[in-house]
Amino acid sequence: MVAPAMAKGKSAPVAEKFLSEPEIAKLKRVKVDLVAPPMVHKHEQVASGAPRIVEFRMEIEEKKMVIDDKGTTLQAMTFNGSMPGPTLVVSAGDYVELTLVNKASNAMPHNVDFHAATGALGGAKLTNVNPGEQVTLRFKADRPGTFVYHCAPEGMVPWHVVAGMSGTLMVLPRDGLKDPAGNPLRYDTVYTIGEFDLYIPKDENGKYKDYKTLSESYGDTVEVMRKLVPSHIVFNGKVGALTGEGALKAKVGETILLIHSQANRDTRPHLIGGHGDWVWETGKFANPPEKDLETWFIRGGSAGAALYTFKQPGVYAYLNHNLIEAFELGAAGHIVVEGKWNDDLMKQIKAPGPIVA
Amino acid sequence: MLKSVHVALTLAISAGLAPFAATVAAETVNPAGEKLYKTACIACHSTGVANAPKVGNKDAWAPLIAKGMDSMMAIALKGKGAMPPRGASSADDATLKAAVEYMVYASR
Repeated sequence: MVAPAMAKGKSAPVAEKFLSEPEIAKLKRVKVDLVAPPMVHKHEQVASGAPRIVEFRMEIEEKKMVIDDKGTTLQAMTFNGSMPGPTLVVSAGDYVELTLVNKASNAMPHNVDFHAATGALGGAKLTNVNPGEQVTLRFKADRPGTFVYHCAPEGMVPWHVVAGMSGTLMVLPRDGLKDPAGNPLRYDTVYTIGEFDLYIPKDENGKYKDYKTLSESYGDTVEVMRKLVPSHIVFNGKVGALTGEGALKAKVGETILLIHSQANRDTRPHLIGGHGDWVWETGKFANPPEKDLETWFIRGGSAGAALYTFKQPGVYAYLNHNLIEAFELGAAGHIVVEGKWNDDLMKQIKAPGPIVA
Repeated sequence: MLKSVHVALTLAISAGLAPFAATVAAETVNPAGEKLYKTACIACHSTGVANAPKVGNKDAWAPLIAKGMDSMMAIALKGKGAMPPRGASSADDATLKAAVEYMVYASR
């Protein structure tokens, strides 16, 4: 325990200012309407004013979801009906004020743990809500970066997380993203990808089981979880969610920020035919980003971010570069890029043909 | 005969209460109760999620047991606090009752 008097007398090297409740009450409030992933709600990359209180609302929805093209189902738990939950964006120094609603139609108690927040198990202790209840939590987003948030009800944390309850909070530096030399880095578009390791039980005939209710899926699912071998690994809730109609879109010359969260298990994102121009693989913007990465690494329990400016058109694959996890288990998506081909960067000198001596 | 011995053995191992489980098996245990417990109820009642009475915790269960099966079944059917109706299962009344009995026996 540090005595308050001592803390008062000495000023810390980094000035940390804690506002009193009346001071906080004077802050400007803004209400943000969240959008479903892979999109991210409109936001400013450089904060234009003083810190604000940013109000969000999320509704918890338990539902059965089809997670592959064979009709396999997951008794899922979600924030706002999507896997991942929506991405929340604020600037460092802002206050996040979240109202968490546990719909009366749900069966389970839930809460939320923000990795960006300080104290009370990330807010989990202060947000326990039974079906039919809601709660409001405020915390100061004082560290810039991409941070996971997830449900964490005491006694059944892993189940709620692997059943879908996670998302990202992005806290931007007030003066925006920077390269290691301090030059500004800006993006035109931001996409958010949540990777989920799923543990669907099989019956005695080797077929995936379908459960009538969420709670009936529990016992078998925990047995599969304990083997640490996922049955599926998916981006955004389903095998192929980000392909075809769901593919991400970009243009040559456009800079995109790809946010990648994995609340439970390691992953290694890679953009086939592209790179990570600037990557914060541990996701914390006060650290200098790395340049020119082929594959980066998101630790289970974190979110990272990568910037890339497209130079060639075509269909790119964005995937987990354990290729079994990508192509067999589902952790892959597409980015469809329009624009003009650059022969200087790549050219097919001779098309495939018979071997000539 | 072999089958019932097997059931008794499974119960004994899982409940960790060998002498008692054997007695139960010999009497009127409905194996569907244990099955439902291990499928669904266990999610909260094995660790005491949201203050659920932990299976095996005598003190937590004594007052519930004292009120009787009708009272416990009323909670099981309608739910209470964080406990959803039927424990959010699709089990019928008989199976639910068997699961309550299983939890009661394991918590005496």
